Amino acid sequence: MEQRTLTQDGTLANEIQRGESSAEAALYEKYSARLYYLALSELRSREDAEDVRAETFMRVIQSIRGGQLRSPDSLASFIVGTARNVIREGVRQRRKTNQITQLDAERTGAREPDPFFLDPHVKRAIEQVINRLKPRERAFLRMYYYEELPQEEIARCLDLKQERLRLVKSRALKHFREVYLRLIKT
Amino acid sequence: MMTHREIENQDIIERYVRGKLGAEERHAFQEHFFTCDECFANVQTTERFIAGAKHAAEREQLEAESVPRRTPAVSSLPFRWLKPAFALTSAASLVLAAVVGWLLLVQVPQLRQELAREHQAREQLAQAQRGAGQVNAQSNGVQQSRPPTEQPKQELANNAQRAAPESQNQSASQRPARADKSPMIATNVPLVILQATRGAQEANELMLRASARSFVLWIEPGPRTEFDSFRLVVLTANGRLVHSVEGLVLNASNALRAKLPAQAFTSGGYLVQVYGVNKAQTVLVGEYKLRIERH
Repeated sequence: MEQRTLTQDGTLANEIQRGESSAEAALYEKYSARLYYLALSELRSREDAEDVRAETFMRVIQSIRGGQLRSPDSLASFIVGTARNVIREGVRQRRKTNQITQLDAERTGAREPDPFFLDPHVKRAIEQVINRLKPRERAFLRMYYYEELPQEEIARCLDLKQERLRLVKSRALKHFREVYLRLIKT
Repeated sequence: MMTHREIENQDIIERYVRGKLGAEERHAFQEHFFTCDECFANVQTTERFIAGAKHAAEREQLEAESVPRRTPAVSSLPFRWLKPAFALTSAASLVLAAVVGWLLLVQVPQLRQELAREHQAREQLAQAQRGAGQVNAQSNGVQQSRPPTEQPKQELANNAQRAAPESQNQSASQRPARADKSPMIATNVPLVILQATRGAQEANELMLRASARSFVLWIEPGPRTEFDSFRLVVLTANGRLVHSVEGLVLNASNALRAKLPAQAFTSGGYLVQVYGVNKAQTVLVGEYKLRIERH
């Protein structure tokens, strides 16, 4: 799968360099969501993520058109690197204008409850997952994801083995995925 | 570049979502999910799942009260300084519990016994004085409604002597400290211990001399801890307000003591109402009939 991606990327880069605008649209379609997610996961701001996405694509396309992309097959890495530069420059700019954000704290420490991924489908799906959980398993999810306690401490508190907790977590996530996909399809 | 095996074995996706990866791992995983549809889908699902779990926890949908939960080690929490703070608080709580226990189990019974002895002594003294035709200034209208017991006069006098003199300060007398060990009434102030009379025909009686300047009502509504204070209202038989006292608090014997001006009262029947007062409400907790005979 990764090999196919690289090959496609090489083709895309070559087409963009030849000035084919449809290739630029294809590039945007392919990486837009990933780029937005990467920026959002770093900056925790929808507006900033939008800005990073737009600025990154502009720079990438200009670089490809100008023949500055050394290895067309490593287009994905080039996009990621460009996005990181854009993010870094944005943070630096904000610091200059005294708009210091909590970016560093968010990178290293626990993050606040995330509103970006909460939609009605997520809420309904998680409710269905919770309904199937046993009391101890619910307590585990709360202690792990909300209270952010270490697994070994939770295992001690709930008198459960850590292997059991890992199983609960993976089953809950699997169930959530199934329910969520079902909900967004209907 | 990261492999799927590494990502699975090291819980990379979840750690990425929870912000637990170092810079190097984070960058490596970002490059990976840029070319891997499966991991990109998984990381987004995990974001949604964790966001949903946090949201559910905030809304207390993940509460499970039936789960026996051992106390987590405080040292693993980010606020390590809380540990000594909690320890200090716990120690203070233990000391407080011990003091309260001592008060409830030792002091209060002793005070109650002392009060009962005092009541008994007063009743016997008044009975003896009436029997001898000596209803005079020494007893000054102290009434009783309980049967006397046989005791030598000297002992009765001693019991009366033990009663601590009431402060002359009226506000202080109406707000005795809870730990006051001498809540008794001075012998030279007329006193009536009110018995609940709701629905009863018999009224509490108080003989009040014309020269008396005040008298004291002693009421035992019981340990009504739900109230911050009490209000006492005295009405005539036809419902006219004669006098009221605000801000009464229970003394160590769980009794209220209200000192009232004698000149406001003539001979006749009265209704004494006691209301419990807290921030939320005022509730009638007792009603007492009182008959005053002035002479």
